[in-house]
Amino acid sequence: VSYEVIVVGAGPAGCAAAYWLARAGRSVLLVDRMSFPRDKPCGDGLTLVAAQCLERMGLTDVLDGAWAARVRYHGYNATTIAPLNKPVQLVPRRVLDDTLLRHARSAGSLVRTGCRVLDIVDGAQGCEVTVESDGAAETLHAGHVVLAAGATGRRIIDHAGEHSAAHGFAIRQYFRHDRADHDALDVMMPVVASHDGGILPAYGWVFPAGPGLLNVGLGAYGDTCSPSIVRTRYIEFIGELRDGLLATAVPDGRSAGGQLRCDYDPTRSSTGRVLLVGDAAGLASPFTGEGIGFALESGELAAEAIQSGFGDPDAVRAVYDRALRLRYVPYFETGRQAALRYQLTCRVLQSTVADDSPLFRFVRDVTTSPGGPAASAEDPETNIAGALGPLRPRLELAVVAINEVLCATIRKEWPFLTRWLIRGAPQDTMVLRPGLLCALASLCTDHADPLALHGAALEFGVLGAIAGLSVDDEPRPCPDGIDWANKVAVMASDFLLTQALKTATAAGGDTPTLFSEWLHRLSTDRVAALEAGIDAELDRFVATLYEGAVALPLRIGAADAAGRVDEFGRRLAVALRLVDDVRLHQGRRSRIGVTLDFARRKRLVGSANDPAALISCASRALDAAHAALAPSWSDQHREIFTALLAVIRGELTSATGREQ
Amino acid sequence: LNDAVTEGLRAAVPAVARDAAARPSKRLRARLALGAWALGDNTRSERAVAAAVIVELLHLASLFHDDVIDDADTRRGVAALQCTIGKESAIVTGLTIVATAYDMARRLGEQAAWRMSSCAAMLAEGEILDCDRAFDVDFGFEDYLAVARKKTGALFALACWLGAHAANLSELACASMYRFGETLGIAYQVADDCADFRADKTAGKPCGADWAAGVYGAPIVLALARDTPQAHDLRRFLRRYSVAPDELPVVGELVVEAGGFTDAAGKVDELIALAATNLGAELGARDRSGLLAGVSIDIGALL
Repeated sequence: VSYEVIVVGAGPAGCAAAYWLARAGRSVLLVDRMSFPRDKPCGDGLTLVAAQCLERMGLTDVLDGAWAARVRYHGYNATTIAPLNKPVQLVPRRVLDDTLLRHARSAGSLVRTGCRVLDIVDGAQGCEVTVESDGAAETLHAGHVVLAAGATGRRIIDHAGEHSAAHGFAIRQYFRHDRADHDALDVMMPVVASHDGGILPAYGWVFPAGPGLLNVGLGAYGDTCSPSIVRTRYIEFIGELRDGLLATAVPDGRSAGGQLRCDYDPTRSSTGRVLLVGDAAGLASPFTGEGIGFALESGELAAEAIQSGFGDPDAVRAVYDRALRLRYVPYFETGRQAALRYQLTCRVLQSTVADDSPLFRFVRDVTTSPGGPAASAEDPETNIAGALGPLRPRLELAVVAINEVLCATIRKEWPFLTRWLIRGAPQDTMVLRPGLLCALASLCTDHADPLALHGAALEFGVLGAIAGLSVDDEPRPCPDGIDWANKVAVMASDFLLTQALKTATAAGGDTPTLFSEWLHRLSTDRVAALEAGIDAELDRFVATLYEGAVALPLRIGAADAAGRVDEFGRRLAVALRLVDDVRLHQGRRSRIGVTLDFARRKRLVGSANDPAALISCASRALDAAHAALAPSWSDQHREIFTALLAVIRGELTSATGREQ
Repeated sequence: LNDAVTEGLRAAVPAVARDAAARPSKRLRARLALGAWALGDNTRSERAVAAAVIVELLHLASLFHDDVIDDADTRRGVAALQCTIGKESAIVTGLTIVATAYDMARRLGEQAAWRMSSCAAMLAEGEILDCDRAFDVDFGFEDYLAVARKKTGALFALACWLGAHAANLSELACASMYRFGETLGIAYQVADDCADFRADKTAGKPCGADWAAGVYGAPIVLALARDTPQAHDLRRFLRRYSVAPDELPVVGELVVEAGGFTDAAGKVDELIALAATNLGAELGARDRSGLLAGVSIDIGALL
């Protein structure tokens, strides 16, 4: 019997792949050794990535479960409560997986449960898949195979089944309780070993999973925590909760454990005609152990790759491997590093979990969302892709080149910062970042070079300045007596700003002079502002910051044609700052990632606080920027700048709508 | 020249930090720059002074930042800048100083600007790597040396290179001086770590501040690498969430008993000898020993 695609394993990854392939009209067979519905040890939380995938599959409103709006972080001797950027939904896997399976079937894929895959043989004409159900073996034929058989699934194709260090083990059990709704994600970290008081590379959780239902678990990372250590510690963990969160709860079923694989490797996510997805590809988060989001997403990506090059295994693999690499490499590198540094991680988290500064919001985002801040931000940055006209393809390449410089420069020391710098925007969007403005000015003044090095220097500089704002005189203490928040903020800021200096030096030309002149002004303005605390000084610092993000990139990009962009750049900086002020006063985050509370505490906003007045100011500033467009621009370039202003004005228009 | 360096520093430092900059200090890095310069063409002393001022400025900025990172109350015997003008102001003042040092380096030429900005980046990278490995009881001495090379070696290396460059020494000689400074800087870092474990502590640093933050110095790293009962006890101690202040002496004793201090002191001698091998044949024996002697005394004083 022959199918276009056989999907092995009917968890979230397999169901997503089968759903999307069947939707595209492929003949799909989805096999699983279990009968459904069935249970699966898991934390049951749906991250933002998972929610987005389910939404694309049309499954948003059909799932019952629980919602959590905040995190209670139980650190060492102290508990901190922090709101989540967005509420998180939790659905027991028994329900989620069964729903997904039925959804894949209704999209047209054939399903065989209680059917075990014994072997997959890859050949020139396709794959021979040997399956067994009810004691009878059978060989099926497929053009492509999606291997979604979970943490141990790789064994089917990789008989050596080599050992990997990047793994973990987790146990969870359901409890029933009769208290009011549990609407928080309770996270316990650090976990202390009972025999010697040492800190374990582990964390515990109590999550709501439905009305009156709790999911209580403990997960550990790496070699030092064998399943038996985790099991022993889990029993103690439950005992410790008996006086608190579980005081009135009773167990609902037995505890169940499972392996976590966090060893995603970009060179091992496919072979021949087989694509590995979900846990089989090692796609469980090394930060949290979460895997549903990665599973759904990688299943969808596998389906897209097969669809794009059906019948050509090399092309399919190239598309799939690249898609995974772009999304996951920095996340997994960072995460595995953080997992090894659990002693440090738990201290920094405890010290910053409720901090709303851009740097620490980013640290939290990066640990919970592989898409990075852009994917999890409640206020996405304005998409300017549509305004770029014929220059768009070249600018997209410029952004890739800038990202490559950023990654190559800092990946080794602090990989997680690359995620902030790259601000992984969803497909088809481009944001108004300094490097893009630099490249735009360069291309518009008829230079062929998108100036990736110059652009990267500017991005380092602006983000370094923003990171420095997280340094605070208000202590954010940790029970060990150390202000980890300040420590990390100083280091991040120093790191980014010195990389900026070094990259500007390498870029050459006028860039080192212009950049250091800006850095001087920025730092003296800030000291003056903090010292004097008067509006004029505070205002000058913020103006200089926006100049660095807007006017300076245009100036550097235009090089010897600077006269054409100088006035426009200055006015655009003023306008963007006012648009940001409007965002802040409407309770949203500005494009530099700050909230109104933070901006007030750090004195980044003036005393004006009437959004309607700010909107009209911003509108006039945009008029002024338009009037400052140099007459010497060609029609084509004038059109691009005009369209850019129109997109920003569109943001103001929707802000006006909010006011009314 | 020393007075010229003092004057240059005074002029380059923002008013709020002038008092802090004027406090007595060993000026080890300035002395290295001037010492390297003295080996070559001595006609343009203003370039030697600039080299010395640049490295002292970078050092000063890193002290202001370290004091925020460590939340230190005092520095060079007086209140730390972060206490007098606030943490964010202290950080930004440090940034102004780095920018000033960069401008001075650019006036010495493109190569100097590149060396200086690379050095500033390495110092920051070293800080991060040092924090990133915090609490890691399996952190090896080779990895420790790689961090020390960036955290401390880079600035000593820059001092020697800028001095040699200012004296128009050949590119080859400048490169040798760079490696000399780098290795010497690592030796200095190991010795500085040892100072925490000396019976009569004079280093003026609160004992154990670094241990509490999980930044284990060379004696601890070397002690943990040994397979002895004391080393195992030490490991158990350090795996806990925190070490109470009254337990710090116990940790100190364990490190010394495990042989960490002796091993580290031995490494200092090895590193100084290694540094000397970089001072190539192009230097006379007298120059070589002169350059080494001054700094070795400072390093020896830490042990």
